Amino acid sequence: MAGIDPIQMSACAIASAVNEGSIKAADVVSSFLQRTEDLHRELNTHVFWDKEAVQNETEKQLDYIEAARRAQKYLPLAGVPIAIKDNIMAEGSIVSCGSKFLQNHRAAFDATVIKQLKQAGAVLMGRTNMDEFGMGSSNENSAFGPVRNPWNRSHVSGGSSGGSAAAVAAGMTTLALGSDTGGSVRQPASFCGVLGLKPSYGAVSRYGLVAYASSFDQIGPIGTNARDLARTFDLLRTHDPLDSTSVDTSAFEKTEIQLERPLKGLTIGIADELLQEGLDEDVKKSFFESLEVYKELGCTIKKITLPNLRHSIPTYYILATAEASSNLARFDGIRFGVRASKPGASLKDLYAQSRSEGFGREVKQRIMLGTYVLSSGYYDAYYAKANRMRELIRRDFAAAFEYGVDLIATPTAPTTAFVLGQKTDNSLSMYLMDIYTIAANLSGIPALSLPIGLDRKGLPIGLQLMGKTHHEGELLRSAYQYEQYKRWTERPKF
Amino acid sequence: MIIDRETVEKVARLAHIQLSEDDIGYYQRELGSILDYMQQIQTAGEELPADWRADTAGVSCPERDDEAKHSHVIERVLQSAPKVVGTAFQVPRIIE
Repeated sequence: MAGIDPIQMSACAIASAVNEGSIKAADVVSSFLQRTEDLHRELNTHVFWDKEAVQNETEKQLDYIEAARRAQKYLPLAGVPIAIKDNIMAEGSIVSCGSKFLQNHRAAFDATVIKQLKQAGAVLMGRTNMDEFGMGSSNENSAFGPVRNPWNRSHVSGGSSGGSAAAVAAGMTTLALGSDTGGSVRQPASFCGVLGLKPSYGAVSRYGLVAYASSFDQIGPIGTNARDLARTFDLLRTHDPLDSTSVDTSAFEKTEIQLERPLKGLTIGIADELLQEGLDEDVKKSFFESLEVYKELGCTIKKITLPNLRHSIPTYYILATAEASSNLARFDGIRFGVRASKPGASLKDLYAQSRSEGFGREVKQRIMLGTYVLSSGYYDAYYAKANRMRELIRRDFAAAFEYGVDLIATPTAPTTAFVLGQKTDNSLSMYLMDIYTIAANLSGIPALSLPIGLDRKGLPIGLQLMGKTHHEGELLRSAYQYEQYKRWTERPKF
Repeated sequence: MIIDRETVEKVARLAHIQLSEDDIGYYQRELGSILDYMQQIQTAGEELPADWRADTAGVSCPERDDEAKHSHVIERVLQSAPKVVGTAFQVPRIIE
């Protein structure tokens, strides 16, 4: 392996090389530390990046990896760098969630996913920038400034896991974790030309993830190829008694061993009603070209109808903001976060002033929207209606799968990455960017975004595949086979 | 639709958020246009059976044993608290 730049290697290749001793984990880590040091300012991918501090934190893990190698104990992600979205607890790190409110908050424990990654030999590679508390589709709602798209610095990275996706695309890390409440792993992955997986609801533990909307949130991996994603997902998918929504996954077959199975016989559903208004021409063209690839690979394309999906944006923004208004009530300036600089006399003043100083504009908006839809007199008209609509959307998917489709394909987003600042003064136009991704969160099914080409401006286009609950294997296998067929290896230039 | 000033103020009060004059105008506009858009679901969803319930939609919830464990995190938790007295969070006086 000598002479190969770790930055060009896949996670699986790094792990093999480290396990067999042909490359040192410490050398891999120092390549990525330097790469991040060189690029993070330009792209604003990381929050509180401190090369020396990150390096010091890796030492214990490097000892663990070396000890495992000597004992000939195989680690599936030995020496693989992984950047972590800033809303996932890693003991001792500042976990700001992209918010001024938590800019001094140090995690007291490791999230379950962090424990799993460390055990697998992965090395934490800093904390990535995000929309405040996950609330945004462009990473422009971060208190620490927007992330810039590695393909074109004047465009957004997507959000809310924008820092994670951009860091992977720019080769600052091999893998990253994001969290996906309405598309926050898949949409930035699509905008940055990498792969992102939102697992089925309950597949991956959320213990240690700062909650935004608990009936939607899932942690998911971001990487440059399907095998890396499959391996990471396989080790994250275990039942966690500390998360009561985490399901028993012991009977599920690992996804990595399914990758090579041919796709022949698989049926992919497409819904014409989703491919009309607002869909960019280049995106549409690439989308249909990718379907041709799947036909070549032996898949059947079948027309389906998902009549209620047109209501998914209002449904999501009612339910998710309602849950957020409750979840974010804990940020009161008492137990953690920032307390108002000059608090008033009463406890209530202290709450209100701390929250007003600590939260950004979009977070306040979503808390108020959630408070409104839950308030007396409006609850039935909004919250109760949206719950019914959510069930109808679930039933649309169930009917499509019943009808014989294995996967459902859409573009990941209606356009490619837009220009910074273009949508910041119109919340609704930003919300409409989530049109394709939200339905998977509403219904709990898994979904994945994979890069399928570039538009005429040179910005990446993503294909979204959605599958049956706990059938991530089919999604990852389909992404893998596409990669093998197309070998799309374009990377942003630096 | 622009929602009225009183509604924005009421919702902000319920959410424990203080707003400036500029904020109030901004949220009147933004919340108004979003709520307008959300009107589309008012006429939907009637076709579900009467006994439908949101909380039984196929979600399982595995249980775990109820064991007491020490978390040993009090010190670390207090490190991130804005104001601490001994081992407690400090709050303004609420009883005279």
